Amino acid sequence: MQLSGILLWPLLGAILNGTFALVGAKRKRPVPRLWVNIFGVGLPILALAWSVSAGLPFIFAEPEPLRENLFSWMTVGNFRVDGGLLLDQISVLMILIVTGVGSLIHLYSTGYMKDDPAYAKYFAYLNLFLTSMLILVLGDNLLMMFLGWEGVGLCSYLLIGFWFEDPAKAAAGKKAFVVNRIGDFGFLIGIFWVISLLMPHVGDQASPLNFEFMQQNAGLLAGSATLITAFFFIGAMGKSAQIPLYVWLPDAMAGPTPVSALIHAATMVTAGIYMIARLSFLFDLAPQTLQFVAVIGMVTAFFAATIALVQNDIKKVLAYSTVSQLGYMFLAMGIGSYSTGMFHLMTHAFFKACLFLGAGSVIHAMHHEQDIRHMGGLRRFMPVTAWTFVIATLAISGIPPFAGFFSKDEILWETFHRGHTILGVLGVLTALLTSFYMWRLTFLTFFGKCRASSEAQEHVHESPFSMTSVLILLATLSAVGGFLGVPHILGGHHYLRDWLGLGQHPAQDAHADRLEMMLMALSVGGALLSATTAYLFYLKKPQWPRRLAASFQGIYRLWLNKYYVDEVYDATVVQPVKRSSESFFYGLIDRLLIDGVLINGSGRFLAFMGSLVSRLQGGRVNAYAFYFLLALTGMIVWVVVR
Amino acid sequence: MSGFDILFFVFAGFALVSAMGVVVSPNPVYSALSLVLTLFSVAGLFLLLQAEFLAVVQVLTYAGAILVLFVFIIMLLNLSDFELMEVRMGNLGKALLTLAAVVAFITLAFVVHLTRITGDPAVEGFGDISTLGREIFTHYVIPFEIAGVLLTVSLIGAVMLAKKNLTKE
Amino acid sequence: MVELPHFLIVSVALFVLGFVGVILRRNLIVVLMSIELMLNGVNLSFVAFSRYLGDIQGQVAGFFVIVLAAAEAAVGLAIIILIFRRRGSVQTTRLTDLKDEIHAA
Repeated sequence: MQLSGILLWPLLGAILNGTFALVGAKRKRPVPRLWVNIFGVGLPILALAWSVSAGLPFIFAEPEPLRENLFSWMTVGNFRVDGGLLLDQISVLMILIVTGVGSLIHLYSTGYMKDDPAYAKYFAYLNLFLTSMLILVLGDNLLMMFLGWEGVGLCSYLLIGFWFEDPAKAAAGKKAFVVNRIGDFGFLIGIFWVISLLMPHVGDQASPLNFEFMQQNAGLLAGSATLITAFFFIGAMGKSAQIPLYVWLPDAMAGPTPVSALIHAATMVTAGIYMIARLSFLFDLAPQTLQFVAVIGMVTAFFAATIALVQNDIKKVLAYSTVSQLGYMFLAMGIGSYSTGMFHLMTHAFFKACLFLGAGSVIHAMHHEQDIRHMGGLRRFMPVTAWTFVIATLAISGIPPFAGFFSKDEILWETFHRGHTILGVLGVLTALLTSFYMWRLTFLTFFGKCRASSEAQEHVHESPFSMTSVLILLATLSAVGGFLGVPHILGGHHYLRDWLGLGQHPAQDAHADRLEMMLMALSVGGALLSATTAYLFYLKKPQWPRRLAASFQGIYRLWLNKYYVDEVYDATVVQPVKRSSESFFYGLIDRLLIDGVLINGSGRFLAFMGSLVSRLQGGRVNAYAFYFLLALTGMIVWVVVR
Repeated sequence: MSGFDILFFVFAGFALVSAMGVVVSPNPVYSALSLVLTLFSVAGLFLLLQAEFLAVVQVLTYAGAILVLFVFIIMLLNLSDFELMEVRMGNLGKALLTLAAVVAFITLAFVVHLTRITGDPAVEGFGDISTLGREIFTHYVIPFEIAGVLLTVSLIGAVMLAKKNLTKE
Repeated sequence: MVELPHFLIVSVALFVLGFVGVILRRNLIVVLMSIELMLNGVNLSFVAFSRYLGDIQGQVAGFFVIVLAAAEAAVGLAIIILIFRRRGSVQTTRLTDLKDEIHAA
């Protein structure tokens, strides 16, 4: 009950709020917001409390992993899957992030969504998302993880398309769902492969998909580990928005901003990272896949960062930044430094949630204006939002002692230290770009002169306490979150790494220390340099970036249009699929074969047969008697001859 | 050829010919009269089979009561010429019917051929009214009572059905 | 020498003739008569078996068949009267309510 309670409370919230939404729709009068608040926010906070109480023993001691069997999902012969939960160090970290950041964002939503007519429905979806995410991180086997994986995908779809009256937003939800489906297909193939390899070796009671069973029998999977993990990684590509399946995440910004913060920055998109950490024993057996993961992660990070440089929509910048930071995490996973990836996952959850919620606060204040060219100088109107945003920006750009510095620096150091020099160089470059675009965003939004219309300026206001309090809390976490993993050379102790105990870490020697020192100096210096450049470009000499864009017209347009990836996908994948669907699947298969031959054909065939037989049904009694005679004679003949 | 044999062939011949008359004569009145002849012939065959009581009953109820009823109805309905006229079937139908009838007859005749019962256990008084009465009123008393009820029911049913004021139209 | 099979053949012939009448004739009254013919055929075989097996029960069965025929004729004729009153006809060709109107044309 200790474990299931964690996910049953949000589930209860989802059910209650769903009922409220339905009742409200039926009575044409929404259920009072207070009720929705009590259950929609109270139950996630309760889940947080349970998570803390379940996680505390793990933080202060090292107990055995907690296991709980909710129900027996399926038993087919030897094959068996349970609805089991598992709590160990990785899932403790994840449930604390999910319920912690999740509760904060629920609280924030009470302010942000205050005037939305579908208030109860929003909280029902959000609670359901929390449930699914907790199933994902608590499940003790691949199928439970997949259940959560699909659940969060569904909630993501529902919430991106929450304002579905706008066709563009509905289309964004659909796009996210379809692209995720491609990744999920890879994940499924991986699961089936694992089943097929492990099935001959399961006993009566074991489940082949159980993580602990898989770990004990990892040797059986070693032969195919490269391909299996590659399929799993395809799933991660979809969910965690990596090249080539990242295209849905920027569009997902169509959803309400708290949703972007919770689902598309802090929790759901990190599911791929969590999955690799959870299956690290399997990925350790597949060095080629790891190499592939690292390269994809780094390329994605760099690629997304360049796009973020020139975007003008405040949420789009943050979306590409998220893709980029996820790339960093995959880089860390790919070089085998799983705990570093998890560390960055945690700090990223704090500062990116803070950034998104800050952006939400701005959008809320500006009445759904999202273009940073129409902002500026908002610091005067909304100081809390501005300063928390600055703290989070300091954190993401890697300036000590804020959280991002520790985790990002650790990734870069591990990359160089493990000998991936090219990836490391790209990583440092990406860090510089990150710092630049984040400071550009901050300066354009909160500093300088206000470029909004005077009418809009009059309405700008600081957000209510329910939103600012959350911002302050998240900014605090962004500021201090990194102290969980202070590197050795700064005289600290890497609590998180020791505690997670994931993967192998290279020895700390004098050479490594020098390398780390050098890298820190380089990245901090670079970040400051980028920040200064951004300051010059966007506050002091606003004509410079315009001149720069003019002289590098080609690359500017390329970045502004996001490398035309959407257009390329549209031309190479979407349109051919649509065309083939229309002509072949709809025209030929559906209309001709299914409608024509199978449906109408079978009907016509039966009608034809009926018209043959119905001649017997002439309605004349004599004829019936005649048939009777025939049958009787036949029966007698048969009896006699036999 | 004994007298028994001659009598059998006479009765059988009359029965079959008049039965044919029932089936083929276009006018129902002729059919009814042919049926009377058939029933009398069968009653004759019953006599040859030492079923004296049954032969009497056959003549009394069938020829006497039922056939009178038939003729009565035919007269009562006062069928028009059109009603009396038969719609003839086509040649294919006739051929098919004949074939079926022949097949049915041959099959049944074959079944009869299979019955290997010979001998003549006839005794004096077999099938006279006292033997039959004893059998009916001992072993078959309940079926007999039921038959009585059935007749009553059919009587009431026939009256109710044919009553004119039931059809309010 | 006339024996059981001769009687049985006559009985079968009566039965088949009756059946042919049922099929052939359109007049309900004649159809009913043909049924009487069939009953007589069966009755004859009951009595013939009774005689050649030396068992009186065959005659009892024949007796009940005659009772049944009487009841059947009474009810059957009543129904015919009813049909005639409603339809003005006793031709089976006019009584085709069971006909499949859609396909049999």
